[in-house]
Amino acid sequence: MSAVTSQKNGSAGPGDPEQPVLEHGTMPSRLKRWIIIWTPVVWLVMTLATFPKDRPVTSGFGNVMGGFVSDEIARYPAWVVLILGLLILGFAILSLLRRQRKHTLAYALFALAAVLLGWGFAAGFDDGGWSLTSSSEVLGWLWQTIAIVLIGAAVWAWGYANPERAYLMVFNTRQTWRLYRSNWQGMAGIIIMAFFAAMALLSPFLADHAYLAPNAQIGLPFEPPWSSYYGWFGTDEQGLSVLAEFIWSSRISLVVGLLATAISTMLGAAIGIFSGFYGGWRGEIGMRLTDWFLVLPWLPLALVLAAAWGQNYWMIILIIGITSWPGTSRIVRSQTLSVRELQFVERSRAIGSSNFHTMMRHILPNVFPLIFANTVLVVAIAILSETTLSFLGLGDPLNFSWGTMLRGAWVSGAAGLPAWWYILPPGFAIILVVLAFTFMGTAFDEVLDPKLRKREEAGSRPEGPDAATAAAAGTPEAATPIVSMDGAVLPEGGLPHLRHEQDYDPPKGGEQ
Amino acid sequence: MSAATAKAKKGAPAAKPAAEKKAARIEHPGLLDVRDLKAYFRLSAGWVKAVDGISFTLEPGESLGLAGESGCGKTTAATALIKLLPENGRIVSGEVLFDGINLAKRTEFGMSKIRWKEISMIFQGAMNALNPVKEVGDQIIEPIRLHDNIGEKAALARAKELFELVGINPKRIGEYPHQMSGGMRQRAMIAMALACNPRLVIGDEPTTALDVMVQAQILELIEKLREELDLSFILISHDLSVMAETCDKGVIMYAGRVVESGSVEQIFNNAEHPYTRRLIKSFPNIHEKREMVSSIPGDPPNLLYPPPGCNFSPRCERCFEPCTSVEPQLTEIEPGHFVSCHLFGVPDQATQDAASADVAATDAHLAAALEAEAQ
Amino acid sequence: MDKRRYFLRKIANALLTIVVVISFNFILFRILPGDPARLLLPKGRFQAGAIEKQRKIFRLDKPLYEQFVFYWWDTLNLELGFSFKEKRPVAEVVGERIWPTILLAGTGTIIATLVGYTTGVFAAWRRNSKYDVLTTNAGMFFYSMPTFWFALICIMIFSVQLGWFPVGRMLEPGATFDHWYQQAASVLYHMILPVSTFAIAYVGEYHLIMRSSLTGVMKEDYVLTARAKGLSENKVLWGHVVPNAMLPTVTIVMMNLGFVMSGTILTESVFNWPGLGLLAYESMLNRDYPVMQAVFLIAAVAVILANLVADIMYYYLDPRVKA
Repeated sequence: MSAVTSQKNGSAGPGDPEQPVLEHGTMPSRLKRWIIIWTPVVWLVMTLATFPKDRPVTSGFGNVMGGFVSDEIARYPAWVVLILGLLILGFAILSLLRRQRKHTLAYALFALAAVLLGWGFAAGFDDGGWSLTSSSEVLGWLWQTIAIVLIGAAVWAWGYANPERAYLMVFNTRQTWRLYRSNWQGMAGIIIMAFFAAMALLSPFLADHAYLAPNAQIGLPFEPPWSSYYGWFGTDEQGLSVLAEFIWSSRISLVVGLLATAISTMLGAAIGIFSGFYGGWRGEIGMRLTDWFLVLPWLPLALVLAAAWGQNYWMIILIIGITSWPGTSRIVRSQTLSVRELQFVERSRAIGSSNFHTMMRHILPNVFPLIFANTVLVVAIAILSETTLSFLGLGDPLNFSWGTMLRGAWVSGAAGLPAWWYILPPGFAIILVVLAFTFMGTAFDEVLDPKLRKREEAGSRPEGPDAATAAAAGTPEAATPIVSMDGAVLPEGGLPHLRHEQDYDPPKGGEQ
Repeated sequence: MSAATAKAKKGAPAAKPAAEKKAARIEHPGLLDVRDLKAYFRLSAGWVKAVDGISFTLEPGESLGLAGESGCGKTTAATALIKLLPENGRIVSGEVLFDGINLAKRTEFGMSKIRWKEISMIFQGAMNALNPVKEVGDQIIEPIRLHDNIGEKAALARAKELFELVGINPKRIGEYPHQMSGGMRQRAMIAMALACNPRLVIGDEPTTALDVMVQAQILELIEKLREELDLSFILISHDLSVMAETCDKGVIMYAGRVVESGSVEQIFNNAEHPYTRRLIKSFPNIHEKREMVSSIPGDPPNLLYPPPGCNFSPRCERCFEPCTSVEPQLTEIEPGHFVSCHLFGVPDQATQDAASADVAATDAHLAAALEAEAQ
Repeated sequence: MDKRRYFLRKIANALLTIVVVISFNFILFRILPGDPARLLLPKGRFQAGAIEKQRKIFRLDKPLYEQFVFYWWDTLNLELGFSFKEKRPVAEVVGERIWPTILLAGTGTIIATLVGYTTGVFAAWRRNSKYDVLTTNAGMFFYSMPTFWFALICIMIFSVQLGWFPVGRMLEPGATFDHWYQQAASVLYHMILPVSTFAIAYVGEYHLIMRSSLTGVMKEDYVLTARAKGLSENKVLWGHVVPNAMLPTVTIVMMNLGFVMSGTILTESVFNWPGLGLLAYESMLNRDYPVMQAVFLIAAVAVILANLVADIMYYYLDPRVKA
């Protein structure tokens, strides 16, 4: 009630023709459209990520299509799928226990959990009996397709059961996107990223993985570029195609960067919220831990760890993950400290909500935009870190990444030839990807910053002159985006993104 | 003259030889004469007409209150007077005649000679107006040394004198802003404003961030200093009671325009503009029968797209036909009392045409400025 | 807070952190998979009984708490172990490698700070001018660039193609000099490429930091006050804006100074500069754990000390700390 009205006031108002007119209590149709569009996209991404490596476009339509139902699709270790299934099962039980009129969400989650658990058990059976780590051919593509469809159904059920929250999500996402669109750096970042993401996902079609084999020479060592497709970027010190290496490298570089960021963000956010929410000795412990990890010089430590733990990408992901979280943690902590003082948090505690409930339902949603913007920036750092470690020879010897390519160039003395075709492509790819993430991160930072938000909206919203003049007088660079490296520093008082959440939060306490 | 000025006793305003020097002065009615001043801000979406043609005059030794809701352009007007608008703001047209010199046309270099020496400012919330990493004393000495060209020691002595004048122990001259309380910082700010014996002091909400007791003390101090030093003073405030207490003249602004101006008595006892009346009603009167304070319904307009005609028309209870189409002009309804409202006469066709021609000229000027900038 | 208490607290804090890091080093070494005694031996074949001997030398046969005490004793006496690659005590190896690193990183940091700060200040001051757009985008580019890639490019262009600078090293092997200044000149000549490579990434970073800090300060009311006082633009900038904008950057620069090791590892490896970074890289290739640990310890202590210096500098730069 208050939620919907407050948004109407705070939103684009009559000036914006796109403003969705929603009635209270119904699921926004935009969310339905999102589900219909994004479910196939997610399916395609997941499928392409595990697509067989030996089916370039030239191998014929039938062969490529056959790849979509091949054994290699979705061959995850059994434990990954099982843990996911157990988590979903937990959520399903929790949502069943909630006093709600509709239990559709719980049923959808149960179905999803059942599929995942079934898949996990089936995948575990191998020739040698059942094991957690094995991943046999069990029609993974089918299981995965069903699971993704069920995820879409679960989101649908969620929107159906929580129309107000769904409305908020749609509204906030649209609002954020509207502002983001006007930021040219952010858009440039998205375009660059889309290019490299497409390259990574489509690499099985773009280059045959067989060209990476040590005996797949296409020419003499260090041959400059020539006109045949695989010869576009010349050859490396063994006479292999640099183009094939370049394309396949994008996968490792991006995946390592994203996974390491996931670890880093989860650690940083958890410790940051924890140490910000609890004062006293518990908060102190969290803070000290952060400070100690902050002073650990990451590269020497990574050298020690990588040398001792062996060389594969899981180790690199882990090393980057556990050495890069303190920055996130600090930022999240300071934001948590200011959110904690806000009224709705006190109200939540006053009505006797548990600490966990308060953290999950009030603190997390309010620090989430900040975490999100920070995460995008951390990806940039993680990708650079991966490149650095690979360059120093700590990468996975079995896979190519842009860092490994540069190591190859360095060790083989490509700079002395000079074999520029071997050095330039991976370097520029790294710079572009890192720049793209930095652009996106700073753009999100700006979009989620209430001060800047107000400024942008002042132009389009017929509201008080207060906002307009204050915004005009306060910020001279009205039209141009700012590059802010200190993007993490956000003003107190929470973010507008979820300020609506605060209106929305029901004053009754019996919801958990 | 500098040394003499610095040593001049507090009571007697220093003689300003500069004032007589230039013969080619425009005949002017007073110390400050603002004529149809327009200061706009540029946003990506267009021009925000923060100050859209304001006029008032100030005699030497007089104090003038500039009041209105927050966001009506008061601060912009004040900063426009000394040409300190933010980067994207500019004075579009109009004149600011200070002692006969048009400040609006003066160069940056010329302005630097006027600033603080002739016109100084007391800023809102001295907490942020004082540099946190410099000693307060140094910040006061800075303009003295710059404008009066005297030695470090003499400047320090002057700063201590000023501290005494505003009621701070001169021993605290070496302290940093954070070591002082809010009221004391504001006193230091006032001391700083008086550092070069200016002829005009502009106080931009000088008491807003302070608690009531301290507010009263600061206002008293300003009043006392004004009398002692014979200062001209412009007080900017959203608080009408502050204005009523301290000022001789009042100017009420709404959405970038002056809606009513006159002596404080005229404005408070004989308010004619509907907005002024509502504004006065929205403050509790302790002398009369207790009445519910009434607020003004609606919001001020977006200055990026001001409504046609009178800016107040959408909220005005006495709005009638020409209000929504014809822009009202300031008319003198009794000596010294100006009101901008159609209730006191709709301008004739010739005046209307002149006004719209003026607007067209301003627009053309803006367009030309944009084009020049683009190149 | 009075001065002594502030300093004592900061120093105590730094010492505590050093204790934690040194203990962490002890634990790290023992939770690594595999036998620590085995890790302390070179790769490949070794004599029977060598492991037992190693275990004795490093007291790995003693109970854990006793090991801990001895570890501390050794560390405090700077007995960091024995490098099996160099066949010398680690302290000796590290001792002679530390000076080239200080030379390289010190010069690089000074240049980076000076250049980055100046360009950043002017970019913020002339916001949105062509200069600002150009330098800031260049700053972003350099900040996103892997150091070692830039090093390779530098070698490719300036050493190989143009032949202006040597490919690497601090001095040519076997070179002899009649006078010390000739040697100094040679070192300087060899330094140019490594130092520029090292500095360029930090230039970008400092430029961006300074610009963003300055942009924030320029919106403050006291800058308006300074302008209203009739100060010239230059006086406003250098007298009021920059002193305030410097504050937050001090911590960042000092932090970076601590993390210099990461930059030197890359720069020194590519340019064969005989410093700690190259030592770390070589010992990583040779699995020379005692040396790697020593480098790690030095790097960690450097970060902590740099932080301490930042705190002390802050005390003098920001009067608000004293309150």
